[in-house]
Amino acid sequence: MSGAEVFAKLCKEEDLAALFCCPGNYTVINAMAAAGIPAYGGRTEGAMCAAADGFSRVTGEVAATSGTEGPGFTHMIMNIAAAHAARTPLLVLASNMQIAGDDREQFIQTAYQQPITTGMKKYGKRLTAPNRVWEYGAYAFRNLKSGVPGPVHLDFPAEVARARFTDAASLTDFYGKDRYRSESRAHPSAKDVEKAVAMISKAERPIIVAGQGIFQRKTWEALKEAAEKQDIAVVTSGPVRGHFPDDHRLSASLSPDALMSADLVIFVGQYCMPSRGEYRFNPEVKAIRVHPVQEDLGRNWPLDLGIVSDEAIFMESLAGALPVKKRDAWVGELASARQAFEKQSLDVYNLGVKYSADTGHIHPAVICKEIHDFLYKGNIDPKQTVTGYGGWTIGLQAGRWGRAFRPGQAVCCGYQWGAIGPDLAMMIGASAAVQRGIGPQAPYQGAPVLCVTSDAGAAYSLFELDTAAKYKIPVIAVIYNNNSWGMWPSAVGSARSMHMYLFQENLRYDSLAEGLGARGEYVQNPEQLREALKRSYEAAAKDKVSTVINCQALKEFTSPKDYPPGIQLPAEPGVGAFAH
Amino acid sequence: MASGRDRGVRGVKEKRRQVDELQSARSREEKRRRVAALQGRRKSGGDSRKCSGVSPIDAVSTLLEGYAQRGVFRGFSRGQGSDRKQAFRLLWHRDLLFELILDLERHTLRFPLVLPQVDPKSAMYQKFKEFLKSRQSDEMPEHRRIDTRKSRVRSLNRSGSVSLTLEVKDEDYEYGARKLIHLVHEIFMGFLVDGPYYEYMVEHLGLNPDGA
Repeated sequence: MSGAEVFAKLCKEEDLAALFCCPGNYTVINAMAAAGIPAYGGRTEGAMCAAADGFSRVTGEVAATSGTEGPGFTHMIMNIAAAHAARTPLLVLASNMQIAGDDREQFIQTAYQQPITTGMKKYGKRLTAPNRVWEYGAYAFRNLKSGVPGPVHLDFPAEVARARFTDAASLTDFYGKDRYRSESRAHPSAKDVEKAVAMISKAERPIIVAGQGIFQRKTWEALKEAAEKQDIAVVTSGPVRGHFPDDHRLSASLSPDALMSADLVIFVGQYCMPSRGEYRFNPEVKAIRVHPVQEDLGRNWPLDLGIVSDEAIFMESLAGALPVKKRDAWVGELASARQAFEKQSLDVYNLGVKYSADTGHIHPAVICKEIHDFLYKGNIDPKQTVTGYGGWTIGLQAGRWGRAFRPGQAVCCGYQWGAIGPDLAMMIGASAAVQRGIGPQAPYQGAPVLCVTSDAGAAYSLFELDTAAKYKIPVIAVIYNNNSWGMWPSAVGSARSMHMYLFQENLRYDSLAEGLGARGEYVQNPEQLREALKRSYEAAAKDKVSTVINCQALKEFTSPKDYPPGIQLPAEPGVGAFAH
Repeated sequence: MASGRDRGVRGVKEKRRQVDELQSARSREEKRRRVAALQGRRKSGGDSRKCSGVSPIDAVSTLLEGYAQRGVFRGFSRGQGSDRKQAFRLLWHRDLLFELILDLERHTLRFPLVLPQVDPKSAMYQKFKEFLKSRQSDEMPEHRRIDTRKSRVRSLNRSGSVSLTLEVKDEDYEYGARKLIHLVHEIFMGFLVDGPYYEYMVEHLGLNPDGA
């Protein structure tokens, strides 16, 4: 066996769910495909990295990405950072010349990779001893599958990938996953659970912030049981939503005004911890935080009770220990706040309808409301379609109107890192998971996936429509085309700068899509969008064909001076939250 | 006209100056407390018994210090004052330094500057006043409302600088301080975020558009 084959064998034994790559690191990716790991080859390494991230975000599974040394690897950087910000268990692989050529700039593409990913990975290693390839593979998966997830970066010099092994005795630490890592998890002490129960029972308006750890540890049922036992409000946070349904009477995800009323917040699995002024809680609110590693407890947010525990074990313990209690007034307040939020969104939509009619261009609130009605109010099962959103003006609106009714249903593509551009590629990865029915996507296997993005963002990922066509991974990409970067108001008052923020007007992303083997739709009003959505969904469901719906808008819709209210930041946590 | 970078550098310098000022005020405060504690021990012959009554200034100070301990403020100090008037400084929303003045003669707690550069005739200021009214309305849940039998809040806009004054009606300064802090918190977390004020926050409150 080669070193690459040894590594591929380990990946297979770990049930690595998918590999998204561009050619390069040939020995390793060929060995992985040969070992039976589902592999997808695309057009750019950066987009393939985002696709792997998207696959992982909607499944919770480890996914891998790979590229060639130097250019391929450095092309991935933005999306490795995005995966790191989202705590995605992403395995980043890259070839890296030969150890024999180190420091000599021998031939081309010599670079030290590991320093480049410093600050954007959980663990990384340049493999230099060929016979330790299994050992370091074990390091990788130990990190990917234990504690708080995050990217792991391994770079493979040719001496390692091409090494030949004829005897298992020459491989160091060559034993199975049952021995090189453990499924044992941190349990909360009985005393801590008792304290938590006492604090929750005493509170009048408790709320659980159900973070990514709830999804990662697949503990949504225990969460629901605990919440319902005591009428505890729940708001979800993290790069993926749906581990508590938005339409549940206890959901506070659409009730931003009620957040300020909570008197106790229980953070569970909140991997990316906000500071006090970043979440809309009042200054008196008491805080419990449950986290799998002790080191993070107390960071950014002073705690009344910190509990080291696996999220699933804590939620099960809590659900078992909580006595039943009703909180009718609190539930009523959640409902009123939800009504107020929905009314506010509808008010903006009604303005958008007027602006659309006045200008002959479609307003972002109108686009997002139409998508909302199509996916959740029509003939489609509201739980069926996975959505993802990005972009600035459109992303903020899509966040408000997107819904999640079951785990892994909605992806915030720009979560924490705020990258404009990975959206479409990320959702192609998510669609790959849905087409195969991985993890929580199993009941909706084969359903279309929808992505809302901007013209600025599309530039980074659009070519992957070729990849989507090649593998029959359907995505409906709604592109908000406002002829500009969303931040163009930064150049108002600086006439010599504005050109840097603008694109050519009325570019036809739908035509570009057609050239890449997808469908194209061009819309300028809500009626056209409605029809385009129907056709696109049908093509995706029946023929596995992707569509770009080019929604022609105006850049001025961003501006509160021209078309109030312009953009609005979301309340965090809740729908539309993207920072934490 | 200053470039963004120039403004950024000035902003950093200003922030450093504010932080330095806060730190030195904090050391002065610690020194004052040590001296007061020593004097107290001398007066009572080393007796550590607590005073039965707590002055409104101490009550408000304790409350604010509690917020700092809980991470609500990122910095806090008790500034210069007398037994009838006391200033507090809070490093708070958007890392801005807020001054809160407790005046026992006037029975008020006052933030002299909450929002800068708000045209008194603007729609924003009208909405702001409506927001204040809503927080004192019976329609607000009781736990969120400012009880107008105990306190009343009004704003003043002087050349664009918006101040807030809470009048304490029943000597319950702790209640007043708590409600005023909540109110300013809601202005930054709710009023500004929910309204069409993104550009205002970028221009006047230091919101970084690159990081927004």
